[in-house]
Amino acid sequence: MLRKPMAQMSKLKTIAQNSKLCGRLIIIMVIVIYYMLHSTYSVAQSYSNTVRVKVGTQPETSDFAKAAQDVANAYKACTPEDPPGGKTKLNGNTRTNNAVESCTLNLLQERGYSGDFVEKFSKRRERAKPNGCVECLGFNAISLTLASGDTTTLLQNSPVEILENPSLLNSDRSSLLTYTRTDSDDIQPGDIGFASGCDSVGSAGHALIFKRLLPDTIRFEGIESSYPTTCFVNDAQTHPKDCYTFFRVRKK
Amino acid sequence: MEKLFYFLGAHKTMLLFAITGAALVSLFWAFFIFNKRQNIPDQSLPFPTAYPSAQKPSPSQVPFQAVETSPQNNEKNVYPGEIEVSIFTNVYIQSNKSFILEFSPPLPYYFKITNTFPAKQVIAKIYGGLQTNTTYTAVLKDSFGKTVYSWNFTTSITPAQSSSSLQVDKEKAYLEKYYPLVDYTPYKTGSFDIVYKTKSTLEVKMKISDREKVKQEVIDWIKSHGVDPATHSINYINSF
Repeated sequence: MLRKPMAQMSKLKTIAQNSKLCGRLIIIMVIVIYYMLHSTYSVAQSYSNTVRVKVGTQPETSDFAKAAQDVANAYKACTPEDPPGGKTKLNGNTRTNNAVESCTLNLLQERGYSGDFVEKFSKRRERAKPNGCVECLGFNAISLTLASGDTTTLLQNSPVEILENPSLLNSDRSSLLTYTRTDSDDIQPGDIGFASGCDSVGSAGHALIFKRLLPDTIRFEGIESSYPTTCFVNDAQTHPKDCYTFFRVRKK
Repeated sequence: MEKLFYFLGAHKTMLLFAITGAALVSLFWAFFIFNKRQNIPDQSLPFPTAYPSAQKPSPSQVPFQAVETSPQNNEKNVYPGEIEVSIFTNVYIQSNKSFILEFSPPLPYYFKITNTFPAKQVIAKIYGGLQTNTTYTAVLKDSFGKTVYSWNFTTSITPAQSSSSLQVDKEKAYLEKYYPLVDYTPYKTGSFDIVYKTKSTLEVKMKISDREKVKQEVIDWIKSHGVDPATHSINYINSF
């Protein structure tokens, strides 16, 4: 008589245990899916017009190298990957469309730059693309704007013009920044380098941001735009120090 | 509820949960893939056209004709920077010896053909940029010097911002001329350390007192990299 109810109880117990186990599995699955969806959203929103503002301190002028690196990274993150084979280059293009533009701005905000500075960066960028893309001087200008909030820096003159007439650097009185000539033995990350010719070969006209000196102490790595083809950012191009004149940027 | 579980049995319940789980996972992946496709950036950027692949090249296809150019004929306000001038042809061009490309007035610096052949296009990268506010005539000739196509374009008044390709070319030549050993420095052995001090000048810190031995080792090291030691000044400093 008692066998049947006991057997039923045992069966119910097994079912209950299995249900409990399944329930736990589903909860774990839901948690995993939630976090995966969350991370997917983070990637997806980079390409949307959604703006996520993070609270962060404004970068100081000494963070110019960091700002330049952030700009370069944003362009790389927001443009298509290069197809295998190496013949076509797409990644890091600064001749952007709306999707890349909004992605770049969102990423910069995520890096801690305020909406105000990013907005200034965006406006400065519009003035920095005479050929539709951001070239070397434009890259310097937008990086500096992002780091300092100064939109008047390094206007539309070519690097050669700026170098040949240094007063151009300070021509805009409303600028928040000053530029001081820096000896090539004293350069530090964030200094601006203008191509000043190598030996007797003359000026060619290029501008970049000094990143680090190589162990040979003759060459350095620059963060820059426009090499190897116009419109691309490059954050590790090597150059000889001898071919550049450097300026340090400071807040007034 | 207990009755339902009892009715279905433990295995069926497990099956039900498994199906539910699989459905959830499928839904997630569908959403993930959809989301990824929705957010691929617009790839319609103005990059060079890909090589044509419809035909196989044939050596008998010369002479050729130009079917399109960039900049276009009579185009105004062309950016005077280090642009690429492209000519698309009706047939494959076999090599860079199958044609001659000329500019008038002469370019401030030079251009280089940057694409590979056979191809139905010629891409010329302008190094150092163009003169502002100038009408250029570009002429494409076949290997016999006969004009295949000629067209004009005019550059803008606004100067270009940079000439980074020309700069990199110059820097490369500069390093090869004055710092041919830069890729191998700094270099250290048990006898000496060697670094570049300035252009064509090496500094050697001697770790042993046998100066002649160190000198010979340094010269051998320089020669081992295909460089003539006579092209460099070498300063020896005691460091022992």
